[in-house]
Amino acid sequence: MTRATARVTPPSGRTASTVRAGTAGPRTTPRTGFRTPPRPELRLLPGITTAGRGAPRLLRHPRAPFVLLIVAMLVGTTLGLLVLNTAIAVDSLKATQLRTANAERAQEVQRLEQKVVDGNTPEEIARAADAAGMIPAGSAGFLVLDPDGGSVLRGTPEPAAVPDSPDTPATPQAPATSQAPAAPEAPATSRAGD
Amino acid sequence: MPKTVRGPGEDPRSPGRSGAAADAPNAFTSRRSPGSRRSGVGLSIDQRGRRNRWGLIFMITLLVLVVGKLAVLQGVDGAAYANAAEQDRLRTYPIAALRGAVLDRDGAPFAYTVDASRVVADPSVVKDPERTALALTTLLDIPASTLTEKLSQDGRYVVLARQVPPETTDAIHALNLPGIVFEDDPVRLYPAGVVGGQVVGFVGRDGKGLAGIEQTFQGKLAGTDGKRRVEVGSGGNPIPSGIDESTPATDGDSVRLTLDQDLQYVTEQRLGEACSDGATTRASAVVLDVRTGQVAAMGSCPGYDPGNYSKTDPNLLGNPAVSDVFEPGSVMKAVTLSAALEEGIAEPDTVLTVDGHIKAGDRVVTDAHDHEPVDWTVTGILAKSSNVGTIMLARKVGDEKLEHYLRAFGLGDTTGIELPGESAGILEASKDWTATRAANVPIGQGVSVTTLQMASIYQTIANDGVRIAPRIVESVTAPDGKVVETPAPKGARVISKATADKMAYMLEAVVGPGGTAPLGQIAGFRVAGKTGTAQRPNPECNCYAGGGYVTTFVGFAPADDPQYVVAVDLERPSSDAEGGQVAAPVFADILRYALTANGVVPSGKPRPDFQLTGPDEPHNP
Repeated sequence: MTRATARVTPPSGRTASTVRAGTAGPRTTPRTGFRTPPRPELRLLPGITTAGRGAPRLLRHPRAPFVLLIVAMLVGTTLGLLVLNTAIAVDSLKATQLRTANAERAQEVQRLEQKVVDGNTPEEIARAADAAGMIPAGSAGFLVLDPDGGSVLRGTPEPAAVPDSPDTPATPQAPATSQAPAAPEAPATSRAGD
Repeated sequence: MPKTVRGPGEDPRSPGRSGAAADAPNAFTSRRSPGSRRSGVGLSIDQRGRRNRWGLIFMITLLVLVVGKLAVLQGVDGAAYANAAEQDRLRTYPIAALRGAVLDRDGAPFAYTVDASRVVADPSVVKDPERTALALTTLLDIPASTLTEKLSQDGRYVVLARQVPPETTDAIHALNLPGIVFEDDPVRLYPAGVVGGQVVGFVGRDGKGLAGIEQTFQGKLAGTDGKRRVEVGSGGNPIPSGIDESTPATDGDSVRLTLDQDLQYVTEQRLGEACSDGATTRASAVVLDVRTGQVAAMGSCPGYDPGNYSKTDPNLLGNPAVSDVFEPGSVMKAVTLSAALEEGIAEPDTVLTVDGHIKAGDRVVTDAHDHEPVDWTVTGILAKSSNVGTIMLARKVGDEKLEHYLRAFGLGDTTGIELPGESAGILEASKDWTATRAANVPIGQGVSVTTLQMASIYQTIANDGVRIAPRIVESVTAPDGKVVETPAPKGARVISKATADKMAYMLEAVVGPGGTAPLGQIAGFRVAGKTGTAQRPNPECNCYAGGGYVTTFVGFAPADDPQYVVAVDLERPSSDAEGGQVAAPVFADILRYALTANGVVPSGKPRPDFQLTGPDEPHNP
């Protein structure tokens, strides 16, 4: 509507009533009945107004650098984001790798610790000692030092019974289970002779 | 809008295309030929205006609705929807807390937990169940058919295997099978096996401690599970730069016991040997540190391996040393004589003329072997374990006083040790005692104790008369290394030091010449102790006939500076051997190891001579 009104305005300036009756639209205008309108003028005016003003502005302010700037910024941002994302992804992958490596180390430690613990149980030590031909020691002899430098032997140390096969660990004569607590009468201590 | 004046012949729908305007084209003339569009359809200005207005209202309403809905979605429910969308992408994996270890006093583990995994499948993601099953069957050691069946199920969660070690999960992981994931499922290991098993207890499948320390310290050992939330892609794999937030698990505290694993091993081995002698059905032993009341070893046979509890007879899954009660027999005489000495009724060398039998209510109590009246010192009464002499002294003490001393020594009440299922034993109030009961209690019949209580009585005597309630937990260590020591129970004086010294002297006579337990001796050490041979109630008839005996021996060494108390009891339903014959050797072996292994210096002075009989008796040993 407004557009139509605007177009009507320039040639006339003539009837305010026409403008005021604007809402009635262009259709009312012809009915007022002027026959010889200056056609080229009416047709060209809007064209001249827009094109005539636009062309010189383009010459005066070239758009290319601006567009180039925008494009450059877009490309720059995209590339920047790409680089950042890649960096994050690389770090993340590295972190995952390190975490995996860490977990592997932890597992290795756990495995070794487990081995130590299993080999350290009294049962295992008794078995290994028995296999090595060792026998449980009995009560030891103690040398108690007097303040004056002398010493007193406490306890009744006895020489250890010679195991059946001291060097070959193959023949435990009884299962370790019954032997360990049952035969502590034979101290292997050499302190007795001191 | 002004009313249009319209001629009667005008088409009301094409007001602008009428009259002269149609003949001469001008700027306002439609260049389209009339009627080419909207021919016959046109609205009056009025109608059009109304239509526009309604249209506008309609559009605005729509817009308001859309904007309103948008506001509701974005503003009001926005957080919820965003959350739901995120949840769709987020997977939460639990991080299992490592259960704390149970250690011996030197830090050797009785129980500890290692990482392991549960292998879980999402059947809806598994592409080829049969191929996947074949790949897993050897690694998981599960038949391929079982796996195929599980992998073909409906649903999205199937547990394939539990507690799989890390090596295996690594191997499975390397296969890159779709739909197979791992969850934390730590394994509880009991490296020492049977050793200390009854004390340590075990953990059920749901991670709850069901016996022993595992049960008592469940709250401290368990720790708090954590969780990890990760954003995953459509394949279920984590997105590297996505959300990855973890609430770390808090591992459980470690519990350090006062047990010595080596001594525990020796104790259990020796008990095992006793149990395999053909007559002993059950044997228990407790070793206490005299000065602190801490339990250095505690075991029973038959024992069990906590790592294998599910395959053990449920009746064996207890700790008889604290939960089973028995009539202790003559070891109780130490309490009676302590009372007599403390009350000033007798001294170790007081001479009594002891008959072979004594009337108690409607029964007659005899000594182990009936004899003519003899003159025995109080030491002799203890060394020879005379029932009659003890009852004579108990009558002088009086029932009420005797009960007082029994309770002060810890009978009839739990010790408060950190173990579940502790029994208080049975001790009736003295006012309810019949004449028979009054004669039986001083000699350890008609009163029930646990092995631990029995050891505690002798700990009191060995510790100069101060009873320290036995404890088995030394400290609790938090994951950050903070150690909380178990507060030492306050000692309670039961008898004076003088009485305790006299008792130690008299108890030494028991293993000496003329005593009942020469087998309780340990070379180089002065040993004090007491035998016990109590009739065992026959569970079939609820009487003593055919019940066999419970043989006991409790003692400590070195007598001049006690370090360890050992209490041993053997249940022998089919044998009439006495405590001095069967329990004393077990006692001696355990105590010998405890003394030797812990570097206790042998006694410097020889055992004193004991006056067991009155001066007129001819056969003084």
